[in-house]
Amino acid sequence: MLLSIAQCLVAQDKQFLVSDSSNAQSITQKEFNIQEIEVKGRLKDENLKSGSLGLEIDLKKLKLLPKFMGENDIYKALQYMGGVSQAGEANSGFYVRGGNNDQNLVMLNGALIQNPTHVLGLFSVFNPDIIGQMRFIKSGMPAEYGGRLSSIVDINTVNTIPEKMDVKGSIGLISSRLAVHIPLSPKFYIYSSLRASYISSFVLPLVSMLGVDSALTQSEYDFLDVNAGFVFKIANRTKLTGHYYTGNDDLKIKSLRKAELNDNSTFWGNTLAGLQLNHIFDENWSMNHSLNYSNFKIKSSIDWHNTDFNLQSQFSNLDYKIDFFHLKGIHKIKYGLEFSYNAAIPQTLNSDSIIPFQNNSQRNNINSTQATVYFRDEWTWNDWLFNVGIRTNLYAQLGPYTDYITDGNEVFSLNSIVKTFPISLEPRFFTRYLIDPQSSFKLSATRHYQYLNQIPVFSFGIPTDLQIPASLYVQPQASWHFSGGYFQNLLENKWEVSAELYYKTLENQLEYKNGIESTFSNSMFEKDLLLGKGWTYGAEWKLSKNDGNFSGWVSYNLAWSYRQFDQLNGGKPFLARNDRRHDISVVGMYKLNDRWDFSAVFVYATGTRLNLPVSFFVVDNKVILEYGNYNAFQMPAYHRLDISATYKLKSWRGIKSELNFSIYNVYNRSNPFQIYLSTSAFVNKSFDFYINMVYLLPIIPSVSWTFRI
Amino acid sequence: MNKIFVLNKITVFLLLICLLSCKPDLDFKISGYTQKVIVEGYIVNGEYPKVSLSLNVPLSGQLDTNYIQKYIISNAKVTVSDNINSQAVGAKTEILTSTWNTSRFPPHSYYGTELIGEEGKIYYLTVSYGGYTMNAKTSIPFKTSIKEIVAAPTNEYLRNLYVKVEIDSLQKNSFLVYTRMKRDRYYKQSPILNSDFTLVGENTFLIDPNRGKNDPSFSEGGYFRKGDLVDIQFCTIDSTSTLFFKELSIFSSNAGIGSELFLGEKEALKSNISYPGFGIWCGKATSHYSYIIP
Repeated sequence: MLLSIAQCLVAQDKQFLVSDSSNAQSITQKEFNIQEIEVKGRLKDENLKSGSLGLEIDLKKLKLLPKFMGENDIYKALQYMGGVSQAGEANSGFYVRGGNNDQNLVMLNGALIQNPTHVLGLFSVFNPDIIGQMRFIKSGMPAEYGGRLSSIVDINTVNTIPEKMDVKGSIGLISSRLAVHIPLSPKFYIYSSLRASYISSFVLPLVSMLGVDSALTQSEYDFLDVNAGFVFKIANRTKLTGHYYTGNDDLKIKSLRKAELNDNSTFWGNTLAGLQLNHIFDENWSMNHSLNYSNFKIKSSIDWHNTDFNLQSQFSNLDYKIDFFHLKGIHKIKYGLEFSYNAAIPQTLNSDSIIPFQNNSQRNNINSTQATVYFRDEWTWNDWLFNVGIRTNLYAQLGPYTDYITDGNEVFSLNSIVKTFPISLEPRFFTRYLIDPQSSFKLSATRHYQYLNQIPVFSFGIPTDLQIPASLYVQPQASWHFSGGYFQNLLENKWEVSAELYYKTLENQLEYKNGIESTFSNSMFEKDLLLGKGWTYGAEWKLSKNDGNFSGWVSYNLAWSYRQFDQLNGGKPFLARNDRRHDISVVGMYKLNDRWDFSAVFVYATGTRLNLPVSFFVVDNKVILEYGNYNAFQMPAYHRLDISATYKLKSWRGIKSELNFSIYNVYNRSNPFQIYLSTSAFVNKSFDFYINMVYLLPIIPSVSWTFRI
Repeated sequence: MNKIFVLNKITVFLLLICLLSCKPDLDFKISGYTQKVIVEGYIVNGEYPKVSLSLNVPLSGQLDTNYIQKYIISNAKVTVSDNINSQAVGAKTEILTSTWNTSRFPPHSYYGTELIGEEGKIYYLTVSYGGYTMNAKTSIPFKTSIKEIVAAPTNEYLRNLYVKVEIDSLQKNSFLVYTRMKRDRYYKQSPILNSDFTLVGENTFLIDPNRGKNDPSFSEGGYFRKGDLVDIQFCTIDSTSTLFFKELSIFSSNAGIGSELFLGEKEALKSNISYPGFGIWCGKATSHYSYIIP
């Protein structure tokens, strides 16, 4: 593998987007410059004129942000932007404008990524050395995007052919990476990257040798990801690109005493493969086909009370999409079709002696198919810009499926239709008005449907969410999102100020009503879901400085997120788990000279909500904890300061390199990773009840060496 | 001078880290506590009824024996009848007698001495306490017996224990199985069997001894040891009781093994006791077996 990668590739940073001279690229550029927030190079007044209501940042600047254990993470940097809150310490998720984590769609080259992080959410799966473009849309979502209620993170690898071979890499404390871009001809280019950790083989023994905890050597953790792809310019106006990604995490814990688990081994990861064909008919008309496959699976084996349990969950998606783009006068028209097939294998449990669960283990897989048609038009009229579109979905659950009914089971055969949902309509409206060359306001109203749901069961970072697509007993989620903002540029666009307001409704929200034991024992947990609604609203302010040796931004979110379920909290509204009232990010980057760059990030967020018991009683010798008002408790506030310094070394035999020194969590804030309960129930006729908080990430200094040949 | 200045800066920085790195506390203010009368009552075929009463205990203050003692109810009036109108002609009705039993919790119970549970009958419970009257209804189903007990070896010393049962699909009944080895102090409940009422005909169930870490036999895990004498209680319960015990096992996991891994309770436990009572009034048809593990 290393050899093949060494034979390969790499291009440079500056080719993000559209440096190709073909007409295909020019039309693509016109299209890209409208609706999305592109994390790449940008116009100085793009925030005023663009069709997006979000935020944007230069990819090069993202790479200047403080690193964590030597890893530069453009995906995690989203959490420093307005309207985005991280789910918590060592949690892979993030919340956008009060939505749930499963309401964010993350794609790599158009292929769905179910779990975009490694190491309990500490690193993203995206290798920054092959990423060419990143778009983040949190409001005013144009009709070509859908399938999730809250946001789209659309990440693309470099798709232009570099002039010469390029090799990039980084060596860090716990992992290293290498990326190679090779132009085999002016029309054909391949690239590949590898990133691997050495936590088990190097870091944990080292830590153990230093006397920190000898038990650490009994556990293992490593992650790996591999990317490979090509860009083939078939003709002057036709381009074919392909990409393959596979990545996994492998965790082995010798003993988890609190849970009485032994020899726990968990393996999870994504595999993606995709092809895109882009063709330009003429200067005003282009077409794009994409065929993508993605698969996420998690396997876990546990020894619990001398019994081996094997737990497995999987989600696969096969998707074909065709998009057309027209330029007609002042109109930029885009329309397309999308077909997808999804196969969800929820948590299934097997055991050599599966005592508690054997009687209800006929677990259904949930297969489904979806067809989507969309149309949107964007045009400018004087100082106004409009983007109006419609997206329609037809979704059906397919067999095989068994509806376990007490009076007799109903069995659906392979690919028979179990349930067809009514056609859903998603109107999208966005407008922007340029008040003057230095200010604008933007308004949007959009409707969204989401058929693929995930429901969290465990409260910690391993991605064990239940995959529950819309099906016989599960309705699709839906929302209305209204957003408006005022944008002002100052001092020749060097400074930007913005203020945005939003209101979002959430329909058919899902909660799993039982605990983990029932998840395994219940043959149809889709019948055990609670259905409710929600609404979120808030305001976001942002002040940015884009030019000069010092740049950065301050963003502040004030938000409320509510849910209401008939069966929870006596039917009264309650604050959602992801309610973060205040969320502040301060980002600063300073270029001292040609050698030294400095950066710092400070984040503060009020704690998320959680459920804790308020009383207990004993029945059948079992201690039952009673919970009071739903989500009545609040986690301690999350805050952290990271700093970083980068020194560019002198070029040596054509190798450009730099050293990065970073400190994560500078003032060693103990941000709770997890809160759990423990009891000693009536041992010696006494009852002890503890609330325990686990802290994961203390102050972590790191150093890494990044090179480019 | 410069060195001293740098050292001072490092010292100040390290002190700052020490000062700021204190762990935050959780603001634990109880919200939403409602006092309830917790009822745990059983009427078993061939046995007198038994009822325990307590109040749910708020998780505040010092949870010592004296504190918890205040939440035990020993002065309630507890009545059991086989007729909804306990005064009706022909109704068998009994007011239970209050007795302390410190070997269990709550350390106080109400026992019958006249009325004996019968299969196929409905029984009514009335609890009068603090100006409130709480009612409940249960039935004792017809008994399902174990057809065969089988021990399958997993190694030289440990065995899986199976019970073979014929299930009548017309009855919405499930089964609670309790086992106790001689060296263990208490009966342990295996997970509820046929809790979805989907099984029919002859079924074989693997029995989980469900040992806790304080049990002498804990090291044997989910197995039984060769030569052990096992007492087995096989109880048939109706659908209302099934729902309660099924959810009880889920809810109690939040308070027991592995609780730290799971998200909190979503929906309240279902009870067949009227307001402000909570808990279960359960009829059981029970068979007893003793089996030496071969």
